[in-house]
Amino acid sequence: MKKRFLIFLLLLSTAHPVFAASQWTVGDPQGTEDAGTIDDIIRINNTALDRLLNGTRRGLGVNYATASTLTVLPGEIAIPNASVSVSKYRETTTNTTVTWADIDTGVEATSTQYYLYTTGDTDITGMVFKISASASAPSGSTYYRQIAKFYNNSSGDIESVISYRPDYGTDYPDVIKGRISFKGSGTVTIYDSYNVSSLTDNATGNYTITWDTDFADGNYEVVCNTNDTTGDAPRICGAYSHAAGSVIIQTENIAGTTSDSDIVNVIAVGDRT
Amino acid sequence: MRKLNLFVIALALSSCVVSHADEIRVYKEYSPARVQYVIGQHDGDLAANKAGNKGGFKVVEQDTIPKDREDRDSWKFEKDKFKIDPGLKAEQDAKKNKVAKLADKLKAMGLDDEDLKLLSVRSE
Repeated sequence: MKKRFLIFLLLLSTAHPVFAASQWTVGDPQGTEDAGTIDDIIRINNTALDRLLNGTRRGLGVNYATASTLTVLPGEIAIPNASVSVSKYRETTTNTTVTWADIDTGVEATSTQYYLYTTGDTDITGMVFKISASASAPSGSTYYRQIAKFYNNSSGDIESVISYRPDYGTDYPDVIKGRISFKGSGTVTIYDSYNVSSLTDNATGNYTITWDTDFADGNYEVVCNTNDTTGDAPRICGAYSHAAGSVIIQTENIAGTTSDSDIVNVIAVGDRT
Repeated sequence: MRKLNLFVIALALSSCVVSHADEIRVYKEYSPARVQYVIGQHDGDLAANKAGNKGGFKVVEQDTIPKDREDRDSWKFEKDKFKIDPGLKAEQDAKKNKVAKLADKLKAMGLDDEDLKLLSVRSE
């Protein structure tokens, strides 16, 4: 019995403490730590920090500036490589104008979806931005993060700039999920839109809007208003036939007859898939 | 020089990006014909399916579409051009005439334009 107890005490004295793999221990390493455990303690804490910092992005909102330029606002970002073995931290304290000179390869193409990346390959503390037609990675970069996307239309003008929020993809119930502004008279013209894939002119004052990303079902809210440009022939606007992927808009004059309008504005709110 | 020109053309074609472009589709099998404006690089077929636009369609340029929408409800698309369908036009005109006749009858009874407006009997 005494022998077993002595062997037990011997084993206890040589045992090494076990470190949890996913924690940050406040105050570690402490001055009272065993010298042989300091490396492990620092490694465990740093690993926990890496998980927190590798996805960091603050600021760096991307705005439409002109038909051929974008503005990136100040901010900081962590840019890891593919294996997340090294992470480059970059910062910019001023607005940056991004132009087609920042394209990763080739030249500007019309009717093309583009993506804006921040890259960390150049050994500077500032920001380097790249425009790329690739949705996965800019050509020639090891350290990159996609921060926005935009469309270069058939006229070579930038439109539909989407700057990614840190929680991009979250389906907030209180955010507008689709909108369009168009001219329904004369030559039908789409002025602006978001999450709209097409507008069908069915007949006088009757249009079908299709959503790029569908709603969860037909239970969402659509609000529209309409008028002519002189303001002296008011119109009524209503939505019907709500479906997950589309809605029909009808504009009428005050006599209740379907009638084209110079301006039709539509917004939609609800849950998306 | 010719070889150089061919090389330049080949080089330009090799860098072209294949993508869905803005397009305007005319669906001919509807009365009146439907015109679908596909935005940006969205999939036109997918958008057409969502809109319920079925059957054959023709991709057209903007200047193919009549700017005058007076007879929009009578448009038909034949041989790559928009035309006025006489049958549809007659129907539309009959509807407009009906409203106009009602307005005339009510005016004959002593109502004025303001009264008609209140009764929502007014055609523009």
